[in-house]
Order: sequence, then structure tokens, then C-alpha cells
Amino acid sequence: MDVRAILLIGNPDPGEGAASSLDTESFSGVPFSLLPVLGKPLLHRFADRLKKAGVDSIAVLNTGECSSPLIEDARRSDVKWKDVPAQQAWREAEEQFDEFVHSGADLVLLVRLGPYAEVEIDPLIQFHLDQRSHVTQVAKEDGALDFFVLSSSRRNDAAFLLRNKLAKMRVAAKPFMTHGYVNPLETASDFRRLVLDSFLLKTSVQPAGEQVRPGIWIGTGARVHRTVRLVAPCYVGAYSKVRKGALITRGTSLEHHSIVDCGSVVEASTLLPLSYLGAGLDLTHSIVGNKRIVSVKYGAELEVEDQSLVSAVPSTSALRTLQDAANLATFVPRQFIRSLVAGSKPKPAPAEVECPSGFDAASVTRPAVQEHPALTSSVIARVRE
Amino acid sequence: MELSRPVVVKRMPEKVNQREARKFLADVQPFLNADRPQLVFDLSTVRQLDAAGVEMLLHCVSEVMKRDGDLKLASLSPQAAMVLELTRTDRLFEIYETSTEAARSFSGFLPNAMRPIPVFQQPTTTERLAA
Repeated sequence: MDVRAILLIGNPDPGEGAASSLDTESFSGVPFSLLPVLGKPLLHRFADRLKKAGVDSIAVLNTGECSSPLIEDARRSDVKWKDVPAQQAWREAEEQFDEFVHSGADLVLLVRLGPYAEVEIDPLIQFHLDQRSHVTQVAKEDGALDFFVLSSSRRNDAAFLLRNKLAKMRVAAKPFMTHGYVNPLETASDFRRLVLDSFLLKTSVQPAGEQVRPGIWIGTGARVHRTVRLVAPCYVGAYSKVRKGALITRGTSLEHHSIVDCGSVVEASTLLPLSYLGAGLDLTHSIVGNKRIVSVKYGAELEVEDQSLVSAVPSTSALRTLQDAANLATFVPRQFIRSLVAGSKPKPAPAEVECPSGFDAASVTRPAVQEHPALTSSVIARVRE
Repeated sequence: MELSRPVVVKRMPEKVNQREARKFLADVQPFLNADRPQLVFDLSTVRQLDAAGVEMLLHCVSEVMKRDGDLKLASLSPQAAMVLELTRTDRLFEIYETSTEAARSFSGFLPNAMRPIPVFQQPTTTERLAA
């Protein structure tokens, strides 16, 4: 049976208040489903599940940000990728459905990622065939998901569903109840919960790296200074650097090419790829990336312009090498200038103390300390006498 | 006799980078130079705070401490709270929910004799005569 999939990324045409809706389900304009969790983007993990279930042809329609390096990470050669404006997403999905039908698909899976759902694909397809439905929707105990199976022969049903933005079906059908893990991925807090649930083995997400100690995974090429403390569960992604004296603890995930500078503490946080966290900082319950910090604790987003706190690492290896070389070349002159500036600071003049009238300072000054003779045997004998 | 010294409440700007920090410091400098200054900085409107801003706050608190005064922070915006926590400077300041609470907290350290007595607690003439 030829089963294909259309994956809608982001929040296509959410109607009124589009900007605010795009703020949810995304980090700095990049949908959560394109961000990596423990070394691999969620989209890749979902595509792998589909491939494993025999879904070979996958089309992705991305309505989110399309120029960020994080998006480049999420692209795959075996997945057909198309960046579409949010307003045209439904129309594009309809055209993609037609294209699959014409090229011989029997069933088409239509999924909005959005939420992260570990749906059992084989039982879902079997359920759809057994029910002889035109459209089958997946549901959980607490509500329906934007996850559908469409029969290719029922073009009208597909068009009706897409024109109603997945909110209404032409013919009501029994939903497929899933028992797999589902995370709505609406807020940064949901994203962090997914990371923690993955550490706690509540999901099928496996960290992409070697487990060096129980609960501690390190990716290929990661450099961790010997004085660094890694407390399980934590993940250090590929080619990341954790510098002297840092502490990585309580479900922290450092994605690839991220840098934690000397003495910083990272607790229950995620550093997205190509992020730099400055020295001596204390990052807790946050997501850092793209020069931004989103705090789960305060529910706020902060754009950081100061590069000593948070900055971005260049996305290509050539630029990274160039930056490292420039830092090395300017290190000695910078230290020299710093020492000059520090040396030229005027020393504060001793404060003048004003005495009230009639106050004799000499009367309260302590008498000079008497010089005691050395405690030799002759001195002791004199004292005894 | 002076019962209590004035508490100065200053609202910080929305963006506290190096330039704004310098400007703000120039504004508050006369208050920092006063004898035993009592200052409250209101951070409710702060949306961006960088290392220069944090350094300015530390400079202010050290100047105030030198003169036996105190500097308290009030109404922290989430962004300001995030940066103070990130730079581990939140533990160096007394932080209050509102500027009023922060200003009121200064009088908490006055000895009883110097604290203004509320009207309903003042002794009546008969009580005073009896005493």
C-alpha cells in the first residue's frame, strides 16, 4: 500500500491575531517542531517514525521563519521541503494532496506539527482501513489532534477538511484513540517538559550521543573541560564546548555547537544550536538561542544585545575558525590595554574628616605602641627578680 | 529633630545599555552623594538590561553603602528579574513588589523613639497624666 504524508509546520493562517498566535508554538519565529531536542530536530524524529512505518514520500510545508540557521538544520534531503506564506498554506496542502493522488498514493497522512505526538502509525492505518472511513482523525482522551488519514479516492473530503483549516470533517467518523505520548508544544514550558520527559524515558526520544555515565550523554566532538561538573540527567550536544568550572545540571540540554563559558551554571535549561552563554552566569529554567532568552519561570522573552551575556556562534565552520583566530590575535593587545587602563585609574583621595567644634582629636588618639624588648633569658631573669 | 530622611524613588528607563546607564547615573549622582542616601529604583518599565546596566546598579549600591545609606529595587519587570538572576546580582539587593513597599521599608529600621506614632496609638491626656 502506498502511504504518503503531508506535514504542515507551524501555525498556518491562524486567523485573527496572527502575530500573537505565531508567538506560541515557536521560539523567535522558529516552530518548536523544527528545534532540536537532545541532538535531533523533532521533525527528523517524526519523519524517521514515518519512514519506519513504510511512509516513503514526505512533503513538508513550512509556514514559519525560513532564514534562520535553525531551519537549515531541520531540512533533509529525503523530505520534500517547501516554504509557504501562512495564508496560502491550506491551498498548498490541497495541491500537494492532488500531486500525491496523481502519482499513485493510496492513503495520505495529513499532520500539523504543532504538537508532538507519538502516534502508532501501523495500527492507525489498519484502523482506517477496517472502518472504511474517508477520513480518520487521531484523538487522545483530552481532545482531538491535528493528525488525519485521508483516502486518496476521496478528494472532496480532503478539500473540505483543508478549507475548514482542519476544524471540520465532511462526514463524521470514529476517531482513532492513541495511547502514545502527546505534548501540545504551545509554550516554552511545554518544550522544556518534552526535554525532561525524554530524559525520564516517557517518550521515545533518544539522545543523539554516547552515554558516558548513567544519565549523561555527550555528542561527537564535544569538548568538556575536566573541571566541569555534569550532573545527570544532562545532554551535551555534538561539537559543544563547556569551559572551565561550569556546572551543567538538572535536565539541561546543550544542543550542537553551543558554548558555555567559564564558571557558568546551567540548570534545567536548553541552549539551542549555535548559542553562546557568557562567563560567570546563572541560567535557570530557560531556553537560550538566537540572542534571546525565554524564561519558563517568568514567562517572558528577553532580547540580549550584550554579547558578554548571550550571543550567537557563527553557523559555518570557516566563520567559527576565523572568529577564534581573531579572538586569539586580539587577546594579548586587549589584556595590555586593560592593564594600562586599570593602572591609570586615579586613586581615591583619603576622605577628610570634619570634627565638631570643641573636639580635641589629640585627646582620643591612642598612645604609640611601646616597643617590647626581646624575650631573652636575661630579660626573664630580671622580671623574676 | 528630623524624624526620617527623605527616600528618593527613581524610575529606570526602558532600555538600560551603556549610554542610558551613563545618563541615568548622571541623574542620580546628586542623590548618591548625599549623606546616608535612601534610594529606591523602580524597574517596572525596564525591557532591556545589559552588563553595563548591571554594573551601574552595582556602582550605585557601592556608593550608597560607602555613605551608610541603602539602595533598594522595586517592581522588577520579568526582563529585569531575568538579567539580575542571570548575572547573580539579585542576591545583592533588597527587592520589593512595589516602590511604596520599598520606601516604607526604610522606616522599619528607625528606633521606636524616632518612629512617627500613628494617631490612634497616641496616649490620651488622662493616660499621660496618670503616667
